[in-house]
Amino acid sequence: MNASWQRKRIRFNHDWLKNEYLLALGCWQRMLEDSVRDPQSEGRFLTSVLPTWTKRREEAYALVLSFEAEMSPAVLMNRLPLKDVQPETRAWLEPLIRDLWRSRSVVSHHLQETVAAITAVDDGYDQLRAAIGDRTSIEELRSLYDEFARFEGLCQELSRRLGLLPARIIVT
Amino acid sequence: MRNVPLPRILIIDDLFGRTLRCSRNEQRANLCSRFLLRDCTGDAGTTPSQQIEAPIAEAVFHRGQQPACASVGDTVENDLPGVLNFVREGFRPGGPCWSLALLDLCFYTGDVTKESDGENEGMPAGRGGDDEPQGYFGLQILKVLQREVPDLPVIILSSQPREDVSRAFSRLGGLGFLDRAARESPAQLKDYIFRYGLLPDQEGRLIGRSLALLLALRRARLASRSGKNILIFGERGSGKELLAEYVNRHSAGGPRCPFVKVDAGGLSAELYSSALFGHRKGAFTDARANKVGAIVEADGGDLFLDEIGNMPGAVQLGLLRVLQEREVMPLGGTSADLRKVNVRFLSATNGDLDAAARSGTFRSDILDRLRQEMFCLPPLRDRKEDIVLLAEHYVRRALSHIPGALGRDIEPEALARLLDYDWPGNVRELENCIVSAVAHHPDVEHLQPNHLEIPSHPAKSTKHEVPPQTTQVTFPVGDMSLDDVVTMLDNVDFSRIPREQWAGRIEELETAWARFMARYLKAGLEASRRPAVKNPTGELFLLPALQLLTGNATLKAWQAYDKIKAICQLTPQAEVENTQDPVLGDILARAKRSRRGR
Repeated sequence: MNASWQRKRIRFNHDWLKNEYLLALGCWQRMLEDSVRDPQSEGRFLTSVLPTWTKRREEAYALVLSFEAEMSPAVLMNRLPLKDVQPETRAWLEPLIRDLWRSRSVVSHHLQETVAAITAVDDGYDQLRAAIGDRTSIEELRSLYDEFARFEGLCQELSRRLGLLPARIIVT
Repeated sequence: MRNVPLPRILIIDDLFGRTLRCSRNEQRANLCSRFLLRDCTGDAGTTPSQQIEAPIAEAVFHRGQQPACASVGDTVENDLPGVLNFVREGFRPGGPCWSLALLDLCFYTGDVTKESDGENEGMPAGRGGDDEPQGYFGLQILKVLQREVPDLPVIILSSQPREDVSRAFSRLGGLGFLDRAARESPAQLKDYIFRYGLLPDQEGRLIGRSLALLLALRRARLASRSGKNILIFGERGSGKELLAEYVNRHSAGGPRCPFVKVDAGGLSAELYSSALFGHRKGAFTDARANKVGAIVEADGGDLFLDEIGNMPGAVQLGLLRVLQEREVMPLGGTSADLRKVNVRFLSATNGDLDAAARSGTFRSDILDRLRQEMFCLPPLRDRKEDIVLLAEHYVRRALSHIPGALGRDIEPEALARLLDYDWPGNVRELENCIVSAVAHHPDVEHLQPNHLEIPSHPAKSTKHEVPPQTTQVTFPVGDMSLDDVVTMLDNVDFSRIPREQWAGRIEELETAWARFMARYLKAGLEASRRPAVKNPTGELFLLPALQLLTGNATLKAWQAYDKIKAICQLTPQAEVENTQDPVLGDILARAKRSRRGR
């Protein structure tokens, strides 16, 4: 297992996206539907919590784009025993391993879908901000419940997609 | 609906359970909002400004680690003994505080660094293995909880992938998995609380918070949703009808579906049939008008048959048709009166229906159909923790029926008397005792021990009302065949009796056995009694009786006397008792004289 990439995913998907962002979005929807009142959260959500996506989106892209470099079997070329192969062998073996992995593994497909999911969250965020405009009070924002729910759905999908990526290097 | 406290759930989680020094735990607040939980942890991380409109439960959070409130420079370590102590504190057999526990999987340990603290205040940087499924601290906790508090329902609450741990948590007794970020999880938690939670009766009709009662209620709720016919076993006065109503209230159709009850006690077969199936005018002598039966009244809902073991054979036959065909015909009806019905049967008994089926007094094909689900209502002696609540409830109720009555409480000595008694008549007997005490002493404000009419020696449980699935003896024998008695005696298993119960009991067992045989002998002799001109109670015919009992038709009189002596003199104490018995004493004296004469 490449602990580094797996750890980065846990930090992003488990620790931030699920434990913080999605929960906060869920909490916000409870406030919009008026089943929860929490003045302390109301004030913070639009200004501090929702915009966190803009800080994390690059991390999401970086995580997915680093997957191949860190989790494809080509990584094994840097570890014993493949680490000791002759440079001329490495020159053809490494790209061959990478190409075979790309063509045989479903991971490439998952990666594309995950990148699409990030883009969808990004677009969804922009649309949501546009819909919010300069409204700030919860009363004004209640009519946007469905938009918030849709954005939450996009984040859920991103989380699901990230979870589908393997946690260990798969040699096929 | 009564104002019953919300179910209280325990959440063991490093992130949500941590206490922050100067601010509230935002993640915890969000979790509570999302799941509609009222945070009653009472630490600095609690969220006082948060108002949940209709909370589904109260939540107490526990970090599962030390220190609970950490800051930069601290080292956070998992604390398994601390978790266990915390769980035990709220899980006393007298009434568990926790309805359910939610358990995180991954607990981060190690030093709290500036970076880790900056991301999440008080959280450590984590060590290798913390987030590896095979090293999850949550699974270690689950393993210990399963061993130490097996009745506590535990659900995994995690944002880790379920598939990594599904086998492990199932094996360790986890009942389910909640993805804390998934949209459906709040509804799923509500469902888990309903299905697995240890919950008192929200309407307060089945009073008590003892573990024994809560487990029975949980079983009832689970069974209620299955839609299958249910057999409730419970001693007299234990509240079987209330439990049947509880099942009805929690059924998938909801509490509005019909609940109709029929008690077989004292009804003739004809009247019982009429009550169940209804009748057409003229079906029998007193059938002066058409009558709709209870089965039709219960269509779309539940029919409660109390004391099902008393159902006459003729009625059983009619019921079998209903159970098989799902259609009912009133007495005296024609095919035009045949009606399809959709009824769930809730039956209750305090007898051993299996024995009744074996002896042929209750049809086994009906028993199989009525017992698609079965559970027991514990006797009051097995949930003595509930006696105080019940007694206070009955005092209040009794007072409400006495205009201008003084409010009163139960003195500790009186409560001790209530707790010391075994209540063979169960809740009904307790109710009668309290109501009588209140009614007979209208001018006192404090119920004393002498106000309670309780037998001076604690009553011991009557063995004939023990659930049939246990290995204990069931009486009277009238419901069983002698083959059953022999099988039962042959299968009494002493191997699981705790060591401390063995000491000095052999003489007691010998005496019990001697009494058992003496009762058998006396019953056999009584069966031989025949009417006689000179003796209005009938004459005993010893030799035929003993020939019958021994199966030896050539038995001689002196051999019969020898047998009688052998049985009546099994132990010295039994001999004394038998000598004092009018039947056995006379027979034994004759046997002794006869033997001396030989």
